[in-house]
Amino acid sequence: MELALALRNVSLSFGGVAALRDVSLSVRAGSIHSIIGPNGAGKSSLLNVLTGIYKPDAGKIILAGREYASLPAGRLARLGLARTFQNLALFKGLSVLQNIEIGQIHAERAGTFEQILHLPRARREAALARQTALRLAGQLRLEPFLDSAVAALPYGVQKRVEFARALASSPRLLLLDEPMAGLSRGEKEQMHDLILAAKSQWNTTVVLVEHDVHVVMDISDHVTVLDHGVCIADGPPERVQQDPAVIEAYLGVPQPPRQAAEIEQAAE
Amino acid sequence: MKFIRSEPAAFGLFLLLALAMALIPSDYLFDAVLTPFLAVSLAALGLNILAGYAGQVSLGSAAFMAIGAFSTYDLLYYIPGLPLLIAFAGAGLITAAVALVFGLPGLRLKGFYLAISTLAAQFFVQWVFTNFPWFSGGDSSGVVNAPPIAIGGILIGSPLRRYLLSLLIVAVLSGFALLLTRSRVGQSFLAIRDNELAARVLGVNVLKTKLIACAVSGFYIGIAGALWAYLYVRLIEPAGYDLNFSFEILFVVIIGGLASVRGAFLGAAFMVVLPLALSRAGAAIFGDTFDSGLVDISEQIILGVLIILFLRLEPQGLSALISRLGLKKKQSHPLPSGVSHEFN
Amino acid sequence: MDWSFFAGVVIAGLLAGVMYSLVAIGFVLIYKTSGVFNFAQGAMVLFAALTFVSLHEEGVPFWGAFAITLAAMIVLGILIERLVLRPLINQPPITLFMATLGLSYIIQGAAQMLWGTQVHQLDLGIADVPLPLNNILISQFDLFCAAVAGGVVAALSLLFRYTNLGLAFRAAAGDSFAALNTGLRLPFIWAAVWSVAGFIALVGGLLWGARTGVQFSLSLVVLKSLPVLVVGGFDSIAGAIVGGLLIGLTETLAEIYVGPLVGGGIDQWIAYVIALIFLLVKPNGLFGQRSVERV
Repeated sequence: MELALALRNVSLSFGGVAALRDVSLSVRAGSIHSIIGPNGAGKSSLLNVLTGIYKPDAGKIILAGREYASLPAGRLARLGLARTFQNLALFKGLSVLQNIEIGQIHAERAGTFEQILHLPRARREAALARQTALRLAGQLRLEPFLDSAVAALPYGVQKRVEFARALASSPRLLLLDEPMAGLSRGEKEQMHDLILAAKSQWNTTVVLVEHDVHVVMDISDHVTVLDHGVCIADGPPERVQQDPAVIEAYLGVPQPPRQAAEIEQAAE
Repeated sequence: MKFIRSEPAAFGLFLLLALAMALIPSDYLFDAVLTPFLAVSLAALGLNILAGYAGQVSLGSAAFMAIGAFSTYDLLYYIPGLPLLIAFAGAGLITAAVALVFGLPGLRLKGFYLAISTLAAQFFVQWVFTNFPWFSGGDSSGVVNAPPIAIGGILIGSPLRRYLLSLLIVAVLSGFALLLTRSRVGQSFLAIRDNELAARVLGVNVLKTKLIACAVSGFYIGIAGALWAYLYVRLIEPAGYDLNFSFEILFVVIIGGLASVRGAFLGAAFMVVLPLALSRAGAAIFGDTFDSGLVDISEQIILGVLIILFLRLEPQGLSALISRLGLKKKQSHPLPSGVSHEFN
Repeated sequence: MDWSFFAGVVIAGLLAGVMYSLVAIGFVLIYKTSGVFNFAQGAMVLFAALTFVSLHEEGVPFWGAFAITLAAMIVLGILIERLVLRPLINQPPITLFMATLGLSYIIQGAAQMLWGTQVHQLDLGIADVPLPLNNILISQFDLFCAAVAGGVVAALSLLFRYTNLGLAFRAAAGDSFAALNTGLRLPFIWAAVWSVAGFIALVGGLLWGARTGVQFSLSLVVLKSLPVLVVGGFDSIAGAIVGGLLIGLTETLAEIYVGPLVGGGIDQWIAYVIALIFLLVKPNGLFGQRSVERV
């Protein structure tokens, strides 16, 4: 069983407030692994640790077979990790096609001058990037929007563009940050299919951080549940669903709102 | 909504028009309108690369122009026989290097902080050139006449020749700028501007890209300064490169349009033409009481209002307005009718 | 080493620094409560000084002119907030900076049009006479300015920390909803914030104007508050105070002691270079709390 990603005893706190406490999880290569939890559970902190924005106070991250105390944000693409963002991080100054093309940038070898002067190697790489982008755009049904500015497009379309851009970097591991947020029912189904396709068609391991528990239970091979920065359940969806600790975390004793808000704010 | 801009075609058209201008027999046109227009366009282009594309704002453009001007002077003064174009290029490189030195602290941090380091550059550089006569070849008067210049034996002494030389240099550099902005590097600039974190995660080398923007910007602004000093005012003087000038170049970029090569030209055209248009309009409406002082004041007010309006309503400036009107041609500066007859 | 001269220089530097602190505090106040960078501060100071001086020249008595100008400042502040700052609220700070730059241009131009371009003298009735204190010569005028500025600074700090209004200001910065819990309505809070800013601008304008004459380089004074904010931290009142003193002191010391060696004029740029060093070493400033991301 090959691990695409693993966290071992990762802890993170902000000014005394613990966002993550001794969190461990293992993501099997080729699986769809979801991370869920109520508000303030530490999901965004976890995501930011995985993106190299935060450096854990303790613990290790294992990615692509190597151990890290903290992930280097600038080298993630080359390590095979791509992510989408909850609030969409598209480049408004570039068209849809250009956004997707630039997903390939980590693989491009041409130097600065070569690129500026449009020398052969740079042109070849640009053509390759365009081909890949066009193919992905076709697969994600983005053809009508290729030359459009991203800002004016409907939210659901923008999400697909971001997804395409993430796929363009040929990732081994795809991190999705609340992919279902803000989507209509039909769009959610599309996203659902896309995530499954990522696994089956593009052979990518998918890690989802999500609020929509139903979708998660439906689509995942494995679910980790966080609450107050602690991992309270970890296993296949059927088992996690029945776990009393999970049920309590979501439906039971209400957490003191101040604490949850503090953690969320600290994690921002 | 269509996104593609047909800039190469517009560029070609602009060049033709600019060359056609050379046929007009008016020294005033060259010396007072076209040559400064070209120098300011180049400076705005340089600033735009940094501010508009890479999203980093510099408030010290004038100081960097001063560096370009003084570097040219010093290279030509202390290295006798140095070809003019080499001196210009050298001045550009020196300015790029200084830009990197001042820009580095700001680039490592979020956007606004570059403003502070460039302010430091603005005041420091002006002070250095004022207080140390070495830069003026030992002259401590604060104003030095630009010496006569020649290329390969041809004296660049007439308004027409000064205009053509400016045009040559600006055309080549604008062409390069077009290549740059349409390359992967230029796209990286925009990516960093729009979402630095996402760009970094995708693998864009953020620091290196920002430094490239900084250096290229410095190079362009330095040469713009050299053109300004040698081909327009024909003076080497620190006082002419003050904070106000820096702000004006920033205004050119805002009005013309951020992240747009033609925006630099549109904005520069506007800035050069505005005082001329105002003094005409003022004289026409108010007669003799509308003196140059009033022109300056009304220009200030109008600029202020326009800046706020553009920032609020059309941050992409004139460039975007023109796109929206469906006019794809690069506009050459609209000349107020009758200017060709005027000699002051 | 002439210690009494040195002491005199130090005190002069600190006194100048208090003035910087005053302007910086106006900035911090607005930033802390509304998250807005009010670069219009420069324009406001200039406007305040000009309005006051013109009223005064027309014969309006001191306190009358003060009250009228204050009222005008409040209106100006609210107009600026509504017409310039609020529409641009989601833009990066640099856009706001440029917008307020445009504003400064408008105010400068309008002022020149209405009141002419010459420098206006502002006489506050304090003679610029040196005050000998233990062998150290201090300018009486500088002392007065520092005392007034210091008083305003102290009053504001107390207001911010210990009153209901101050509480509302702080709450409004973090959470408008929470601010409402203090029992004060939001529009009132905004109006109060801008009134205080206007008051600071007025006091600052009067003091600076009396010192250097009311002219257009007054806007440059406010530009100088940027290094103060970098040194002290953008969101700290204590930082504005300490930063201002530090910058004032260093500027004066550098100019007096190093200046003669290099032809003078160091005070034009030393503040910015200090800010630059701080950016490298302590980007949040001495007391700032907002995190500044590094590459």
